[in-house]
Amino acid sequence: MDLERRRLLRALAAAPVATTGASRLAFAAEGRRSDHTVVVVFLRGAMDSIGALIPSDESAYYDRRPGIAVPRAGQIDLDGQFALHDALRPLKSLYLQGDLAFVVGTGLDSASATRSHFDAQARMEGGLSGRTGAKGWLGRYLAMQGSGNDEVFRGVGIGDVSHALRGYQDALNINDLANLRLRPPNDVTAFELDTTLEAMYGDERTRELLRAQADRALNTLYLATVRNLGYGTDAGRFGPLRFGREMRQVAELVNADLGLEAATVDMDGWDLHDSYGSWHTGAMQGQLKILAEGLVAFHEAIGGRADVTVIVMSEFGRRLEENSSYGTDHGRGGMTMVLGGGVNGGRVAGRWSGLGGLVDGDLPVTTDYRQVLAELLSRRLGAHDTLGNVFPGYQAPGWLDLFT
Amino acid sequence: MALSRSTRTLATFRSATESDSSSDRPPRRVGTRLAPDVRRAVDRLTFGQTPELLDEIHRRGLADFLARQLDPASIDDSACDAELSAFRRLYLPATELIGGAHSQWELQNELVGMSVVRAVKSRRQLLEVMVDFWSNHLSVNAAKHQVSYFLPADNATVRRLALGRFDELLAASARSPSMLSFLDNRTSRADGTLPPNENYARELLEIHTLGDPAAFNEADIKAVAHVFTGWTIDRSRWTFVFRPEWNRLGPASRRQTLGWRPEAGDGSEANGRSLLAHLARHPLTARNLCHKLCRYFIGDNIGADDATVRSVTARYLESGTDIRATLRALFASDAFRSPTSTRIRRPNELLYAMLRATSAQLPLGDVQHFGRRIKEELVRLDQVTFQAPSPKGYPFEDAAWTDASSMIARWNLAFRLAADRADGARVALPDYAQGASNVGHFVDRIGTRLLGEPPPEAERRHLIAHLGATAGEPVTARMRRRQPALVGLTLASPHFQTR
Repeated sequence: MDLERRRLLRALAAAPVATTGASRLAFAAEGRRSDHTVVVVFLRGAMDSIGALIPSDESAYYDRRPGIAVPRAGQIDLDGQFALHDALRPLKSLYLQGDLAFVVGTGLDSASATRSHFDAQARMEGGLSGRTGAKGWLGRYLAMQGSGNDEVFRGVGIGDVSHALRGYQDALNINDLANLRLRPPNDVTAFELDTTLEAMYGDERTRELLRAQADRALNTLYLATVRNLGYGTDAGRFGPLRFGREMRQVAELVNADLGLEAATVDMDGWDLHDSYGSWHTGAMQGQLKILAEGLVAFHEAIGGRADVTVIVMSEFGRRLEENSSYGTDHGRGGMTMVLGGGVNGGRVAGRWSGLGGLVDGDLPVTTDYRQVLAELLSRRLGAHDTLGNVFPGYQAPGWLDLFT
Repeated sequence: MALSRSTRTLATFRSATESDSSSDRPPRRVGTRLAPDVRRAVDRLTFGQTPELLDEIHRRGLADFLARQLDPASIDDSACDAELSAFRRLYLPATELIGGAHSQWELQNELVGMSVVRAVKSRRQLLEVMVDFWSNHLSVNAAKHQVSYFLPADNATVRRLALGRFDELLAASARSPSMLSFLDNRTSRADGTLPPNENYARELLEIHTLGDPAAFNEADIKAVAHVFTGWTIDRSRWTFVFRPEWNRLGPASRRQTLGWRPEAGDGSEANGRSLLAHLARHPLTARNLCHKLCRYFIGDNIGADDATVRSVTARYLESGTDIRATLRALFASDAFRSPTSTRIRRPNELLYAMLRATSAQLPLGDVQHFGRRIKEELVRLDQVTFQAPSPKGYPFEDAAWTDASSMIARWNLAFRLAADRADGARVALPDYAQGASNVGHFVDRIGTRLLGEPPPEAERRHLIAHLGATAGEPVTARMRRRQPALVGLTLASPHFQTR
């Protein structure tokens, strides 16, 4: 951002800007390349997809999980074949209104398959086949969209710049939007500190990298201050837990129309090798509840807009068979969830192998996870031409018609 | 190092007439810039200047200071050691930690706390810098498995070898319960139908030694993984044990792996040892390590084929992986001494430097409380010690730590410390306005305390402008109240971000 823009921001700072209108005006001319926002929620530790989207009508599910299968009383039926875990109950209305789709059997292609969390996550976020790259698929996507959009909030990693965003050098790491403020000592204002920081860092003798990044930081501070980011009025609905809190940051950025194109959010705690718990209490139930409540709160907070898509993914699925510790071990095929006002939802997409079609005890991968992402890029983000660069060497076999 | 030049400058430094009234140390002249080689040594070989450090350099001369830093045993560090003894349970063996009521989370807090105290208080600064370097090169994540139980002892080993020989350091790492646990080798066996765990083998080649993924293939990884089957942890003594019955060389017995062949058959620990020794001396390892050291000590724009990297690499190999000899070669290079390159302080280095510059008190009455609080500062900076998210450790490329959020976190740390609102540290600086002849002098006295020298002109004039004054004006009461802001801005300045 240049000095002209800074002056504009200062003017905005001085004016009472309560709504998004004025800033829209200010930023409309910046040439935002994509009008769509993608939010990637990564479930770290490998979510047990079989226990979340339950193959309700297959006896193998109950037979192979004598200790941890969710009984029918704890299932929310979707279509007679699949049912949601009771803790995902809040998702059912999103599903019924067509804003949520599940893609079953998703995962890494056979060249990339691994049972290591580290490796699988890195490969999946890298978006390459059979190897881990330094950059991530979202990072390549954003970097490739060119320099038309220099919004400071264009690519945001909540809590961490995730591997998926690497390669986009301006990715912003946000723990809490409310932290994007200067905290002045007594007897001095943030504005005065800001002015001196701007002068010191703006000096031509200051190293280029610091000068440029300080400029971005100061712009970030201005925007966060002017728009009072971090103090969204609907904090209550997201609850006090980390996932909800992080989704709230994204919702606030979306609602503030600050040019957000990609955000990543992580949710930990899915590696339930033991102590899975029962359907109404325990680790798995708690995880799913937090996930569902966070997703619903987000969808509602942004008014279910069609220009925002949430992708929920995990590095692999888990074995059908429960182990001797009332848990499940690492498997292969998992699932991807696609949520948003523009989603062709209310259905379970992808090819379901059936629990009779396991390979070495695991659900096979019937849909490369990249197929879902490529469809998003192509059909929603207008990035069809860059697919070959975002996912080098990958050719989608077709689309699952996940978007309206 | 150009001793004569530094001695001369230091003499000037010494002959200074104006005293820093805030301390009873020998007079130090406010307004004199540090000699470039002193600046360089302080910036790169330590976690930042303190008045005591500059006094010591100026008393002994730079050459003597350097020689002693390379020989940490020659430095009396009893004052720091006495403070460290407050971390009682970090001196316990893993058996007691695992058997007792010690939560891993609490241990992590104390491990972080102890490493901060060392970095800030130890007089063996180069040792601390190298411990940081190697802990990051051979990174383990304390949050995984039982790693935090093993770290107190394993970290002591890294400290012992940090200025020793890399082949010994690598061998110790391979046998350390924390690494065996972190990279899963403890469960790696080849006596059944399942293949060995390849996690350690892969990182050993890709990160710890060769570095270049193009230098090895999947077959090499499988062979190396077989060699290390049976390298595990004894679950009663919680130390390394080799289980010969788990060890099968598999493909490694039939091929040459990266220029190495096993000297014994299945079930021999000697194979793993000789493979590690071979890898430590491999030319690609030498280049990988020396390039990393050069990037760390010189600047991250230096290329792997740079002449300095080549000569440092040669010294590493000639000396039999001697770290001290390697560093001597590096410190003697023109590239190191050239004042043109800068490195941006990583967040942990920034925290240490700020705590040192402000002579912050680190209250150790309750080390758990201290660890938890000071860790909060590292959480805000996004670089918690012993918790790098990847086995690669934390990056030290400048660009990895200067995104907008990082800059804001850096500045806010400066302002919180200046206002004495930081977590885990208390700051009480003297009143620098008292006795300051004018505004410029006020700014320079603060700069001399925090930077070791007055702020560079590009920053000095803006600090003066911040007071709404010119350099020659007298310091008013209003300006005097602004000292915390001035301290914060000096710590937040571009100059303080670099080393």
